Amino acid sequence: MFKAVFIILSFSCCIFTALAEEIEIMSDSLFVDLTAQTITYNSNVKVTSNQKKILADKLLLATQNSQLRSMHATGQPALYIADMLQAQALKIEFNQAENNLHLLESAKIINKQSSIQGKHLIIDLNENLLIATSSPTKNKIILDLEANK
Amino acid sequence: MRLYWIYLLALVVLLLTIYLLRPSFQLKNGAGQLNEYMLSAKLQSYDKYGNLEQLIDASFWEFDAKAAVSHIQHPQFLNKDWRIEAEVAKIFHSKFNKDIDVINLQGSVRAKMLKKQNLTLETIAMQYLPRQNKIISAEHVIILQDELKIEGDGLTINLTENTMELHKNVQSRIYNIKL
Repeated sequence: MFKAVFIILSFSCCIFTALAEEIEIMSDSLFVDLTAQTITYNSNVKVTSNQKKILADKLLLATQNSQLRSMHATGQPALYIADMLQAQALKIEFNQAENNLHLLESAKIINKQSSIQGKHLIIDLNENLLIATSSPTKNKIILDLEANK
Repeated sequence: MRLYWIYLLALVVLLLTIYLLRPSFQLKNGAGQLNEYMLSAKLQSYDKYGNLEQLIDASFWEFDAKAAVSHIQHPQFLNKDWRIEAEVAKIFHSKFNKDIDVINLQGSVRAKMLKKQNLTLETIAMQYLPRQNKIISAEHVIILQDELKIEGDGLTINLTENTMELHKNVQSRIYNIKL
């Protein structure tokens, strides 16, 4: 498995400036499995945290001892929107322990002047890094520095 | 002065007697009759092993034998998973046996999950359906659990499968988390 790492400093200034202490989630309906400790938000899901948003068709929260463990958003595609950045993928996963976002399947990140596409993109919320990973045979990472020109 | 103390003592004894002799009856085991006005009452049901399955405790209980309906005030419903409190409730009893068809809880309804999670539900009306083993509500419901607050309209709790659904207009907040 070949792993390419791109550190794009231009993204870092527009991602994660404010550190919100709460998130708001809206949806049409909700399902809670008390045994599995999961919460599933269905249809028109909107996650808001300060200046950031996730829009998805479905959102699954996994909890442990009443604490959020992870968050999985799926959509056609699911969107992550920050101040000057938009990311999209069929699956967006937020890992609370590692504090990062994984964009899986048809992942794409666009800011004002550039874009990056790949099968698996990771936004590290601690280090303000964008990490792109790919397989050498099957997938490509496309970096377009003039996306919106 | 001595007479005053005697009256006071008599009053205390009277109140204590009323409290100790308050009616208590069992549903499935058939003890007691549901045919009276009561200042306070308990309705208990037991499983086949004799373990307490559920308890309904109320400050005032009126049973309409003709309609097989109990009107109760300040009910407290307790089973192995949930404790539910309300201002008033109506219990619809089966006319063929002593089972309960439906319990309608109204007023300030507050349900607390006893095991596992520190989970509380608040709404203005709720129904318990014993045969389906479900709790439902058509009203606005607030769910609180530590750092999580969820609101929505229409609730179904499946007590057998240990699941919960909100059907419309879901809005929730998770505190102390960064995205």
